[in-house]
Amino acid sequence: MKIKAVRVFEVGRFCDAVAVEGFSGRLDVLAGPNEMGKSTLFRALQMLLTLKHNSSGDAVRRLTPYGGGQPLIEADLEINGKLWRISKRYGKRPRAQLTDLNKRSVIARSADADVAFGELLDVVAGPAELGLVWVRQKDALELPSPDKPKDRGERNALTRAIQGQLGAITGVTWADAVQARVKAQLDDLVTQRGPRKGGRYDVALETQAKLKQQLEEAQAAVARVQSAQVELDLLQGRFAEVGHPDVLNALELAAADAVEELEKVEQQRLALRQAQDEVRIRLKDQEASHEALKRFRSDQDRLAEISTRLSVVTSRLPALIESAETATVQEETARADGVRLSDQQNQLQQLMRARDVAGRLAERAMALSNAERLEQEVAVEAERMRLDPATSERVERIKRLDQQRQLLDERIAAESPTIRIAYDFAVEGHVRLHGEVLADGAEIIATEPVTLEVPGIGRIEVSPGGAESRERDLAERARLIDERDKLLAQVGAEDLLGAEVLLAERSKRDRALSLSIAELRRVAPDGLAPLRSDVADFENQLGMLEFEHCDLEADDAELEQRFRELAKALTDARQSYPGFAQSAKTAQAARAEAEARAAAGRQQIEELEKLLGPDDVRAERLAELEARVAVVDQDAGEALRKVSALQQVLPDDDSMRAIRARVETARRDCEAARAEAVRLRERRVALIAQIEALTNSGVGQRLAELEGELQRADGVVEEIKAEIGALELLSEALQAARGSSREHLMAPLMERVRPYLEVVFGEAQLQFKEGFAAESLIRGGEMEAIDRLSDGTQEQLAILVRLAYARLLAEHGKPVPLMLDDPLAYSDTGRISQMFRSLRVASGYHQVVVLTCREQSFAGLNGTRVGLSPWRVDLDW
Amino acid sequence: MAIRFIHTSDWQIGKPFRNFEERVAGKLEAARISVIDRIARIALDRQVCHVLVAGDVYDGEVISHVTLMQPIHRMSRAEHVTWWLLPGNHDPARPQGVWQRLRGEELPDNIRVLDTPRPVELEPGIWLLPAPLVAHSVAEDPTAWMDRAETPAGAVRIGLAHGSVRGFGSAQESSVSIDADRAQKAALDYLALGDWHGRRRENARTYYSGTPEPDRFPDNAPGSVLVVCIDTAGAEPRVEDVECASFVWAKRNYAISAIDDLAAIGREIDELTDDPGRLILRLALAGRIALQDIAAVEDWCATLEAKLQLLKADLSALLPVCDDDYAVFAESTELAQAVEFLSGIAANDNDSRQKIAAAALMRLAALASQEMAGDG
Repeated sequence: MKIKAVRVFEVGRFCDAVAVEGFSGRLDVLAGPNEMGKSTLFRALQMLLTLKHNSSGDAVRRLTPYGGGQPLIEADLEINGKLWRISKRYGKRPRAQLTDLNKRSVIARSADADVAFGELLDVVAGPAELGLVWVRQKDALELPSPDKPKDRGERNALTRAIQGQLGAITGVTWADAVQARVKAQLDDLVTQRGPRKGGRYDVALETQAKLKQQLEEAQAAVARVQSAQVELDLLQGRFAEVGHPDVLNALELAAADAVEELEKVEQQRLALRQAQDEVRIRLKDQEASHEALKRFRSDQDRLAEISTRLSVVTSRLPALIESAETATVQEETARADGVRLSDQQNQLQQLMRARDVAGRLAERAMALSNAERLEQEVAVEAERMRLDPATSERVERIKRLDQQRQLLDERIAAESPTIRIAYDFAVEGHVRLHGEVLADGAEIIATEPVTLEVPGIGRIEVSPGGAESRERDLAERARLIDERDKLLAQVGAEDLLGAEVLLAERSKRDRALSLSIAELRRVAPDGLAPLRSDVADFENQLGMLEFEHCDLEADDAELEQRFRELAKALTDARQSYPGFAQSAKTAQAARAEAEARAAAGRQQIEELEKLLGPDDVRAERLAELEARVAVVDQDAGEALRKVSALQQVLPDDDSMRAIRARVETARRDCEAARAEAVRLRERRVALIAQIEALTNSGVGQRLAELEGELQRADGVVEEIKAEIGALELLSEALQAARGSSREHLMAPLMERVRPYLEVVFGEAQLQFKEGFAAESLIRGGEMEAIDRLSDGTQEQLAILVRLAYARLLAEHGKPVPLMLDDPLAYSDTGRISQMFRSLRVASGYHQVVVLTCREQSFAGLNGTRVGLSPWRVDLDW
Repeated sequence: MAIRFIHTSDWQIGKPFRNFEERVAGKLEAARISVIDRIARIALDRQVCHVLVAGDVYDGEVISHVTLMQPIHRMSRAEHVTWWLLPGNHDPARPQGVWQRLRGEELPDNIRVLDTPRPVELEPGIWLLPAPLVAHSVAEDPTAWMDRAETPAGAVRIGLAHGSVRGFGSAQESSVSIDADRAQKAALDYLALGDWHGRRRENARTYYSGTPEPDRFPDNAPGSVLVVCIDTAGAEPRVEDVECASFVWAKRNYAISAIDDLAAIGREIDELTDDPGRLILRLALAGRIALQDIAAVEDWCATLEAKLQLLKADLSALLPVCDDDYAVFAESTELAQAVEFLSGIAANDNDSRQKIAAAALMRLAALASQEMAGDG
């Protein structure tokens, strides 16, 4: 298809009828300024080709002038070598007309025209084709992405064109549809994470799992029954062994026999114990008889021996008594000497102590006397000081008053007139004041009225000014003088100097008093009371000591010598005490021991005589004891023989243990058998109940049912798994086929775009993704993502891709004009020139229509220039 | 002193068929009960007074009271027959097992439970030597005692046992071994055996009757009872096989290469039974067949299924072969490529995905056809 002319009336800004005539059908350029109406013409052509004449809606409304009207659009088109004119008027009274310009005859009108034109156009340029190669102004920058954002059949149009080229790749739509069905079926069964929740597979797996669990439970229940049956079987066998009455009776009889045997042995053991007790009694009796005889004989021997020893002791006793008494007297004499020497030493110590106390008493008495004197002196001087009026405060006050007065005097004088006397040579001494002659050069400050007398002349009165301040100063001065005079009177001085002399004297006395006080504190730091107390204390101590007062005067060396002599004598005496005491003690002990042994001997003799009896019956007593021993010896022998006889017939310990063990075992066996019989009966009842309960529940049947149901569920799961496997493999196969066909499909497109790329970018290659959208540019071996390229490059590539689309369509028998509305807005001069070359090359395959507002920039594009011209519209068709 | 009796076994009453759909399962369960009536009918027709059941009357031990009593009621109604029941490995004579429970139910006189291994006089001069099982499996031959079992001189000795005289290679049978020469060793005139679900002649005096009502797709010959006649002690028994099953179970495997092969297969199936409604068939088709014919095979199976009681068709071994002129794929290069990809796998016998690829091919054909037909 080629556009040969376009005419519009009441379309957008074109209220008047205008036409663009003279399209070459190759490269046509409509250049003009902004708001010329280029985009309006673009949209008008688009509407004419794609919308039926009776359409309404946004597209029609946008092209209706503000002032109203019915958009009329007309185009002369060359389709398959024939010229056609299509005219459509939209709006309230829509109309359409298709004219065969070769035959100059109207082919169809109104709806028929739409249909006829649609059929005519459909083989050349449907909306899909137009969408691929008609680039509106605002879309120029974006790379084409067919069927985005909505499906207009652009991909299919391209696919058909390419398939026309390849002749082999067909049925992509069906493959898509089948793949979609496969995906849908797979999605119903599984997700990427596993079975789809609630899906057929999920339900089958859940059913399978539930059945498995139920089956396990049923199997466990049946196993319990079978286990109970086995146990019951064993239990009944066991009951036959231990629970039968004959078995129990036999066990009881065995137990009774064992007990009887044990009782018999126990009786024998009792008899033996009794015989052994008898032996013990006999042996004890025998031992006592022998002991009595032995003791009687021993006592007789001891009596003779003690009597001999007593006679020896009694003979030595008088000598021992005398020796003890002598030693006692010697010890007492030594101790009396010691006491005497000690008394003498004490007396000497008292004397020495008295001498010390007397010395210290004298010292403290002297200190007390000095302290009492100083205390009196201090008291007198302190009183005098207290009464002295010449205090430092008064004298300092007098001094300050005097100073203040002097300051006032100086101020009064400064404010008073000064009279200087300067005599002439002849009259010197003529001026008098208060009668006294004033010398030449004398100055008188008239602090108060002064009357100068000049004999022969008169009196001159000079008065100071009567200012108020002067009066205050004079009053203050008088008050100061008055206060000073009073203070001087109190101090007892006539003037300040006198007062200061009195104050100096007072200070001198004050220092002397301080020295006295310091001396007193040195002598009696704690006052006089401690001194008085010490004196009284020492006097008391002295009174309490016993000594000869005359000895106080004794010589110290002599006293020391006497003390040392007494001490040595006393030490010697005391050292002799232990010797005398030990001698006395030894003698006393020897005496006491001898007396005790004599007493003890006499007592033993007395006791033995009591035991043995009088001498005349002792032989008879001995004979009785000897006869008794003979009898008990015989009894003991008989008892021992009896025990021996019993021990010979009694079973030994091992046999006894064996008998007891037999009894114990028999009893235990019997009890165990009874207990086990009871337990077996109880267990049997429980097992039967358990079996009946489970059996009546029908769990066995349910188990068989579950086995069948699970078998079915397993089958279902396996079927679905196989189905999933088949679908996944099918999906894999379809994807592999899609990959292969995409490469095939993209090849012609890449082939068509390559020459255009070479013109603009040199050696370069464009890669496309599914959907025929450009994905990346490969230049110099580097791959660059499209969206990373500059706006200008993207715009250029967008046009080149559309050129490839248009060329494919043209080669497929659908030569749709490439329509560019204000393109290459971002391209530099060099690139624009290269792009112009590409457009010129493309126009060799299909028509290229460029609408631009940059007339000068597009001068180099060449091609056929078309422009707006008035159109004499004929509305009568 | 001639004796005539029916030898049967492996009724396995109470066996559910939940691996089948409910429609069929109920019928199969019912058929296992009603077979008692059919055996009674055969006994009446053949003037037989004794039915010897060689074990596994019940399918399990832990069964409900209803299941326990159902066959009892059926047998009690057939008053002209005495039913001699032997515990088998599915229903061994164990404490509180099915037989002990039955003893508490006052069994009718025409039902005898043989749960003790001792000779029982069937009729004067006819002695029955039962070998009841007391567990699912026993280590010793339960018929060994028969060698020493004393019966009056000249008596007919009939052994009744449940177990294997050889390994059947099936986990379904018990692990109870029986000496194959037991009949000779114990001087038995006839040894009636159960456990093997198909009828089988071991020797002139040893027979398996098989189950009277099949319960699985068999490798043997189930579905009948044996009518045995012993004229006198020592005489070789005469054994007649009498069919009594409700349903005919069959499994068939066929290799096909074209849709035309199905016609012959259909005829063979028709010959399996007079009444297709009795037929339970497991059909496995294998081979390579044109992809466009798969749908036809499936249609043929659907038609067959409607005719039979039950059809379990296994087409997983059917490998589709895609012709170039298959219209669906001729229209789409990508679909054709996918078919080529899948066909390559399906044609490779060494590829573990062979069956998956075959299924994927069939699915692709179906989806493409739906798409072409505009079937949403």
